[in-house]
Amino acid sequence: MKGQEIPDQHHIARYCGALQCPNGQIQATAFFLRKDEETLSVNWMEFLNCTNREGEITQLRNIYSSKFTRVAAGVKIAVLNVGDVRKKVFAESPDRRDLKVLHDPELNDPSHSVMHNLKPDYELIAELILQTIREEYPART
Amino acid sequence: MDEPNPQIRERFEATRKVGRASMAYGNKSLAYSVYSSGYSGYPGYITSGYSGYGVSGYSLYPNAWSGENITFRQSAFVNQGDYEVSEESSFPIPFTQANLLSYEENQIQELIFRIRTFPSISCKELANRLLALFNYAKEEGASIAINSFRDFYSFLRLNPHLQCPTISLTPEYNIYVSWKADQNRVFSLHFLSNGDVRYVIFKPNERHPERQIRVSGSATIDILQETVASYGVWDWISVSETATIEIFQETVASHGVWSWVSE
Repeated sequence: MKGQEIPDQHHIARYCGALQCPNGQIQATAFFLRKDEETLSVNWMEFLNCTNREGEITQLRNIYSSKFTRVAAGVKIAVLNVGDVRKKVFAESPDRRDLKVLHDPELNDPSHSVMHNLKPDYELIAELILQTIREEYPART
Repeated sequence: MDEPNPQIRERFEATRKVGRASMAYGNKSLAYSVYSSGYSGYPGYITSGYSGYGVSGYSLYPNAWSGENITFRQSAFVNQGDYEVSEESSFPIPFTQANLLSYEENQIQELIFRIRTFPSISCKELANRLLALFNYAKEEGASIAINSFRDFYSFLRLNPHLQCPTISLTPEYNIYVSWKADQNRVFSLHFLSNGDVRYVIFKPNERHPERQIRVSGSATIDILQETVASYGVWDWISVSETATIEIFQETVASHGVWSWVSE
């Protein structure tokens, strides 16, 4: 349902472009917003309704292949726990930032979700989010 | 034809606007340095220090950067549309999107070449890392944001003796560099395309080791070091200055040693 808050115990995945992963290492820039963006796109992994992580990653790869014209070799998927991210950012950002992660389904991407409240000072917030990455996978096999 | 990359389109529009704005000043000759363009807040600080380093790579990239000083002559055709400006220029003004991209790519390649050949830069791997990013961006039909790159280059010229940072590009193709040490030390710089640099610092709180100090802010490149001085960042991102005999004189030149030991 659009606007539903994703529970803290659930997980989200972020598509990290090759330019944000030099030498295969995800950098804070993977969680940066564009000038005209207010929210960060992610995918709600539990919404994919798979029995294991491997299935979720396969589904994500299929979604990316259908959404983007090309998924470059260096692109990675970062898996994060919603509660980890929210708690870390709230506890460690100077303004005790309260991030929200909401379901925002798209026609060709029903698990699409968005993270709100990254601006202003998104560089520091992105550095904190970076420290909460739990797992990383290549975005294409 | 494919829809042009939004980043390129935006910069193309900006270039067109600059072209139109300059027409309002009528007949005049403008001599300006390509390095100074866009740096009205602190003119010339990039150009300073070029002489004497003997970089002779210009001829490798003849398209756009045939020299440092370029003369434009503009005639007054004020407010008569987008491009009714008569120009005699030794420098092709990039008034098509393809030209703009190619022009910026040439500048970036030139700067990477300079980084590679600049003897004082401690991180010899830097040029390769930048080239890899340049090529990745090219695959996406984009280019590293030239103003961001120029600022990064200026930063390097001011601070050549630094450890190798991790370099990535932001979604706006700006340069973002990051140094990390231990578990809780981070110093990152976001070179915006407007002359400012935004910084993030995470460091241990020495009086309370279980805690961390986290700050962020923005500054211009020329005052960045003094702005963050109290956090001791330079102590751990710097490498000690050493030089081979061949480059010793130019390495210590900035400290003014030669003026008093030569007497």
